[in-house]
Amino acid sequence: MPQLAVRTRSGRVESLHDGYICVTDSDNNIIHSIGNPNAGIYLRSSGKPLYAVAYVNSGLLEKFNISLKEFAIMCSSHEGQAFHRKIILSILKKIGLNEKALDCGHKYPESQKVHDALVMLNKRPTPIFSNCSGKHAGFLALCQFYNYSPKDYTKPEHPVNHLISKTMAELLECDESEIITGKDGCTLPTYFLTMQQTAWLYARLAHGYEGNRKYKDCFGLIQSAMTKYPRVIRGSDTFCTDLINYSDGRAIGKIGAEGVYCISIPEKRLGVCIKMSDGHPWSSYPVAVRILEELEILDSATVKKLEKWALPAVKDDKGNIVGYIHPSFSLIENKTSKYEPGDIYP
Amino acid sequence: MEQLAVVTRNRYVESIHQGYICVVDSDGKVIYKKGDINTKFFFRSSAKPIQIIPFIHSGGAKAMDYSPKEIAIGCASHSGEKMHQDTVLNVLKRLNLDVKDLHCGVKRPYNEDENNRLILQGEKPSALHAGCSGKHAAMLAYSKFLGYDISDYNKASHPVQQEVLKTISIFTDQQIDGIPIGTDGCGLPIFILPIYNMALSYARLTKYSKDPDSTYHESCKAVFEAMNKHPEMVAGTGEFCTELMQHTNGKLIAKIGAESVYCLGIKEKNLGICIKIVDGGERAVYPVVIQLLLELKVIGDDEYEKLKHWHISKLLNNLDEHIGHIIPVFHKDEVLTLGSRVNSE
Repeated sequence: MPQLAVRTRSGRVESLHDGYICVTDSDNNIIHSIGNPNAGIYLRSSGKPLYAVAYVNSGLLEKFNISLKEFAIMCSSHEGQAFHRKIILSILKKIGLNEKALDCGHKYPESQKVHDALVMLNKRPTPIFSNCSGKHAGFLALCQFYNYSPKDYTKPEHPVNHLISKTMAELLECDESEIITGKDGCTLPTYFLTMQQTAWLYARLAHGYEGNRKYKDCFGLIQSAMTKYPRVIRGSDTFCTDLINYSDGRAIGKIGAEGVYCISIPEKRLGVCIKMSDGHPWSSYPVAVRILEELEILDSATVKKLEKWALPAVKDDKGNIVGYIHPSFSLIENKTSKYEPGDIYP
Repeated sequence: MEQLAVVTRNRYVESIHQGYICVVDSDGKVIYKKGDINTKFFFRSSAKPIQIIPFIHSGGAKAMDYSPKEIAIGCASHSGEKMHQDTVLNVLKRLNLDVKDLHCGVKRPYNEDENNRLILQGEKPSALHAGCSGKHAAMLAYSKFLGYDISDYNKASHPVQQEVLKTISIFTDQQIDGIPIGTDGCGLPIFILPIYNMALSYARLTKYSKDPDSTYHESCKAVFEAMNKHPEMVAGTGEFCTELMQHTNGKLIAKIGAESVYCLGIKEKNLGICIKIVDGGERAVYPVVIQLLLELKVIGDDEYEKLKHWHISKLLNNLDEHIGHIIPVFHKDEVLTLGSRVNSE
């Protein structure tokens, strides 16, 4: 498997991170690729902006008077900060439901501050704190719009999941019977696509309103929401939010669990899919930044602003930097590193 | 590098963990291997049971009245529970030392209950919560015993660290000048060694613990027995190293290191084992260790029954639904790729 990043300690390679990268244009041509573009991956949370096509297409945004910010959180893996929760409560109110309708489980938010605040209050996180609660609010909005029962909406056989599955098949221009799913962390189905298919859908998102296929207007609106509300998409001091922010929306990044990272590049109409094969999330950030540098989307000044993600520091318990996670490939030259553990890192 | 374990979701491979395995006896004969056993890694916290040996061997532990429990925590990456804090604090008090003499840094305890208790009560973690505080306390004690300045015991040039390096060199059969040194998470020097030599050091520790004629018999016996007498000190409640030693009746010692190094010493046949998951993914370590112990016929049915939850690692989602597995695959011929369908789970 191709080596994409190495973790160093005291100038030596300590751990290795392999993975695949696929970049396509909005016509599904592979522009760059490392590893097998036909390898199957679960989209995990990188699927969220794609399911949003169904929300726009239904007309539910107009019917329930959903704002662009509220729509943005439906595409998010948010950190459970107070402003995130407030937006979700507002959606639930607009669609005539309350927090009890959310069935995404009790998960501590990834934000350390929010986690500690909950522990301090001796409170178990309610479903709204789950990073998936925005997507779940979107699914519930679909249920309310189409008069599906909001009960059991997470079950694969529920009509809302048929609707999403049908939408995914239409987007991929394949038969619905070809769609494979697994169960996601938040219990909704997650879609099993190839690297190329995933990159292609993100390229369509990049092409937005100017696209030439069905659902281009949906992608256009998703792109607007994600670029206008980067903090809603993830949260303060996170890679997705910082990337969209500091690139001024020239790169729209969305994380998925198990080392998946997807990016839309509007000006080039390109979609990028990264999968770290070991499922390591942190190593996908320097990989993403390196790709965007090579594609001339991020200049050195912007990379500098993104330094903590571009070159994550490995620290000892006193906070001293003892190593880094370095990207170690060239996408343009289709080259990957061949470091062995213990090697001196130049 | 070989595939050691795969992570599945709905029967498809979602992630893959690669790595190395070396099993060696105390004569240096390789019994089992996966990947190039000359590949080098940082020893990390798996080095602790060897790092403490010069302290015991020199007579320092005896002179400082070290109990088996205190030796066990000297070999530990403990989870920061009250029992761990008390044990380390006790050592410091007896030596007329203070928590601030520990140079391991302050870290949140990885025991969730203790971490939550600190948050709930508005307390800050101290150096006692750091998983390495037991090792640091032992080095302070050793430094005091030898009569050296304790203020910089953590520096590579300090005589204590020089003695530790000598011992590492002897047990791993590597020349001192051939051992590159880096900085560990707790700030101490840490050694880069071939996986073969790390395994060898555990085989030797195990052999010497049984062999009264060995120069290092007393110290190795003390380590082997202490870790087995007080496995709760070595990691913590519900932790893998602790449970593995609790349920194997003195057959082995086992110690995790950061970035997924794992070392074991097996009493029968004097085997030393070193495993490294190359991406540092700790979740793959447990099923791989248990599978290897099954392959080597080290654990029996009764023991397996108590440990099988570490072997068949069921992945649960946020609603505690079963969504996949972490499956050890190194013992099978089939090579899987991302997205491969797995027929048997």
